Amino acid sequence: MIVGEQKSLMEIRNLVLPYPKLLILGCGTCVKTCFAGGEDEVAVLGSALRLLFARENNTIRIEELTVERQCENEFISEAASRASDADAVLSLACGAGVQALAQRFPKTPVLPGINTTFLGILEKQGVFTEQCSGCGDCQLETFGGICPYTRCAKKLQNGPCGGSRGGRCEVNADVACAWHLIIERLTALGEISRLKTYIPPKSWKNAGSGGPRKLVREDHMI
Amino acid sequence: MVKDIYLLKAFESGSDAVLVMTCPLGLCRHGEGNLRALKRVGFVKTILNEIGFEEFRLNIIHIPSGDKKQAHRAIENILSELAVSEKIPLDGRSRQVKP
Repeated sequence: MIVGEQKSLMEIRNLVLPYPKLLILGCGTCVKTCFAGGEDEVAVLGSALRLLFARENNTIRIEELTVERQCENEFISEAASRASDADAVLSLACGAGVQALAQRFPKTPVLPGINTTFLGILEKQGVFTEQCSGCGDCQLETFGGICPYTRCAKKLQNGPCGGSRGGRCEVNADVACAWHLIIERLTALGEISRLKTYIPPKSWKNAGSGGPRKLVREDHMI
Repeated sequence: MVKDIYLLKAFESGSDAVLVMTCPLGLCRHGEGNLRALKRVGFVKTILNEIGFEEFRLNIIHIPSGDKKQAHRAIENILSELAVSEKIPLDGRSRQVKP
């Protein structure tokens, strides 16, 4: 999932200040799961802003709405009339959601309420960790399902570096050494011989070096 | 179940302070309900701090069932803080718009 973190209340306050009528628009998919932009977070932010503005004698009016996904037009449409009534939309979605709204509502300022951080997983309740860099050239089979590009601080593809201690990364001891994990897992799978082969420099041509990437599935186009 | 929005809505609807009372930690009949309540109160306190609310306005105590004395004492403490504090400005000028 896409993991994001809500901006601070004061940062959001400063973003929305010029707009007398604000729509806070949540997204019910990824950012809901990481407690940043779902229905609950929209309600909490709306309430916090109202309390803050009442304290400041500010008359900003706040509406709240959450759609299933802000990155799909079909769901964005549900917010169209409310967005057109507002002076600005504060999007609690990832950067893709914010841009999808901006594209859909050309006359309404769309403000980002979330800092999109990484592609990750829910490791345990309340803990999200980065797992994928979206390089466009997945080689996880070589590394036992553990991505060194993302999870090794040095991004070594022919590791380990030799600096890890007790299975922890020397750059950040809070993080497990990705290469320690890779070797442990490949050994357990009986596939450690995969690492006998030198892995040539990664091709980054699929990783956005030529501008924004695009995926076309003609079999799904009508 | 204690949710962030319930705590904030209490202030929005005019409460000057909120006191959450739970069973002692480790003795919740729902397993970890009181621990979750403690976490939620902590989170909402950070929001209230940012807004500029005083610390005493949101609190949580863990008391055994039927311990009226401790509950009474906690409420008295909040009331005495309120007696010397300003009222929360809530004149409805910044409000939620119903769709």
